[in-house]
Amino acid sequence: MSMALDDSSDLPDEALLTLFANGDRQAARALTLRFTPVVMAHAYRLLGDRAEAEDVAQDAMLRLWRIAPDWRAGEARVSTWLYRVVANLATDRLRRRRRAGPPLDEVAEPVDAAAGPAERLQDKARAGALQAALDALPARQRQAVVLRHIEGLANPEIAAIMEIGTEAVESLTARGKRALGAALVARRDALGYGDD
Amino acid sequence: MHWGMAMTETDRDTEEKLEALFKQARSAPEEPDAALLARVLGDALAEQAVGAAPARGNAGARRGWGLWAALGGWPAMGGLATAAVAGLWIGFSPTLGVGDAVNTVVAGGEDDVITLVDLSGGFGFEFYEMALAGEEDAG
Repeated sequence: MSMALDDSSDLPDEALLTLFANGDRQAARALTLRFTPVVMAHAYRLLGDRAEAEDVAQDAMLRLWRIAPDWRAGEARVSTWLYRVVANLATDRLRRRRRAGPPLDEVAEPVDAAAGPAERLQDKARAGALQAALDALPARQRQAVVLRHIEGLANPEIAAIMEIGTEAVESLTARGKRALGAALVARRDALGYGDD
Repeated sequence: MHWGMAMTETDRDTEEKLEALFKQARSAPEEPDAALLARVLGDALAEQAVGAAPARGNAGARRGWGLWAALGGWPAMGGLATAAVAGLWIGFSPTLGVGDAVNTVVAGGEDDVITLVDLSGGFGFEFYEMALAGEEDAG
């Protein structure tokens, strides 16, 4: 499917959403290209599973399409709303997963760096270790850490997404980072940090 | 004291490693493939199609649109306006006389009468002509 960029790609989010609600197909295309990568990346960080993240991404975008005709301008940024929807959908999935099977950290062990000397393998191992450590965090800590340190959002926007105060965001990210650090220290040899 | 300093260095070292991992994660986000983009766009276009259909909305709105469509939409409204105006005129004419009806209902000058004629189309215009003829006859 061809998805060339067009003039619509320069318009603000809310303008595109209005055009979409009025039946503009180019706006549908531009919004798809603008926000699907955002929701996909965020869903993956919260879930640690690509197939589930794809489902959540599609579902979150579907909710955007459906709310477009009723979107109230100026009330929230489109990205803020989508981050919140992704987090809610991911939380539902994580609850179902806990009821249905073993925790993810028992099935998604990071790749052992000893499997190969190449730097690429070590990067993969470290990325896997980070994801495994994120998966092991309580949901709200994970959400705050991902939004702050991976999505790169500022605390006020994270507060809006999570519907809490900025002090609570700071507390969640601080606790989350401490837990991540402890998890990485526990795996430092496997991740090639042992001789630092 | 020495132990405390050692702990701080360890924390800093962990912090740096963690930041390096975050940086790596930021530079390699999980991206949607073409199949997912196609599904998302497919949903978008399907929702637009649903939004464009007159069946969308609450039951009252559907009934309203159904009535509107059954009446023939805007093209039919000209005829309906003609019929309504003609009915009004006919209703008044036996008792008041056509000339009085024009003066009472329209309650204005020549401009208002012309507006009424424009709304009611050809049939109304003929009626207006008849009304004028009636006035002339009466006068």
